[in-house]
Amino acid sequence: MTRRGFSLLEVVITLVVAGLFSTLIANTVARVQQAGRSRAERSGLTGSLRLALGALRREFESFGVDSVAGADHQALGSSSLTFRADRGLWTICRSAVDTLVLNSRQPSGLQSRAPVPNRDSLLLYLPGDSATVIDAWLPVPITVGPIAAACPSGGRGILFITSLSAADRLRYRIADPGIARLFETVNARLYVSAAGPAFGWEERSAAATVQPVASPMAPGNGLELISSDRFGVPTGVAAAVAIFDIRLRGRSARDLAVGPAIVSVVADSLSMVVGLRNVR
Amino acid sequence: MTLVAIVSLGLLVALATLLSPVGIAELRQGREQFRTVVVEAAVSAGIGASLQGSWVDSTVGAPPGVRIVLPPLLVRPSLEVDVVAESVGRGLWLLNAEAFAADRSGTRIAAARRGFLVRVGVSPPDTVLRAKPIRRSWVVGFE
Repeated sequence: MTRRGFSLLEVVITLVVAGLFSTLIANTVARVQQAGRSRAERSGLTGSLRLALGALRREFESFGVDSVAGADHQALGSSSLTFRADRGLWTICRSAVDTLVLNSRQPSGLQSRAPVPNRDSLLLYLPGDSATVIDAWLPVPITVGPIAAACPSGGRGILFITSLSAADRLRYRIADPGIARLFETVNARLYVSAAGPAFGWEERSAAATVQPVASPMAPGNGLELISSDRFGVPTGVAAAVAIFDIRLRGRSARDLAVGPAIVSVVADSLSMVVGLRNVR
Repeated sequence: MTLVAIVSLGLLVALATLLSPVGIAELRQGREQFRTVVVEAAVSAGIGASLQGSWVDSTVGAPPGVRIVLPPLLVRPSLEVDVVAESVGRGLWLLNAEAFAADRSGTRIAAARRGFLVRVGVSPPDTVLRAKPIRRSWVVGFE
């Protein structure tokens, strides 16, 4: 007798084995997908922290200290910092009492932001006595501008009215042409955004706004700052600070939508040591 | 035989992980970060090297706005530093340096730019014209 087809037992065994295999494969695929999403989440978080660290490094590197303007890093905290943020270099083509005319043609190559009255200030360079070479920078808030003006060379200029006093002009022997650094005072700190804890810059002007830099951050200890002097000894004295140790911690928790209520918690942290280039 | 199969499977998984978009993005990020570190170190070194040179002697009497292009510094065939000295005030000069790395076809793959403010003058008892950094000498452009 010739048997044709499969017996019921064979079919059942095949179905059970196939079922076991497909369950195994489905579980593996789900796990791989979950791992992939977690990895993408972590990669995104690390990328966000890296960008924020890069932004902090650019700002912190240009911090300086001198006898007139003091330190650019003004209010030191372990989780926030108020500082003068460098926004570019301008040349002054002429000045009179409280007005300064900036040369429209900026030094080549280096971008500067246009000055905004009541938000920005200028650090005017004071050459000092040529014999002793004690130079410094004088902070001068901008109050009115910009107004179109001409430079003595015939080139285009931008006039701003500042709070520079005649007494300071005489005292510091301010003569044109000179140079000025544009800056705005900002506060780097954690804040609560709609998506949770975030890290950003808060402008300290009248229309204070927070510019987001990185999110989501770990609540509480997302930003950690340790300031040290040139020998690496921690210090809270702004004028003595030469090194900043920055640590950013990010933490995200979101539904991966794989299986019932699987929530992925991804946490990562990056740290960087920044030497202040303009402190000597 | 089983061992070969397991190792092959492992290699395949590793390859698939490496070739995944996330793996590629991480590799690219690491490579870009390395290039950034290299060009930033090069730009600082270029400025340091530019503090001395014949350009200092040609600054005498130059009015603000004058630019002197310094000879390019070739760190290696794919890494170059260009420095331009620009007069920004009486005796004040901005050394504007740009370092860039290029691939084999010459396309720029990383660049860094920094400024450095110096005062050119003679400080007695020294009788030689020298470029000396002023306070807060490093200038970073606003991005």
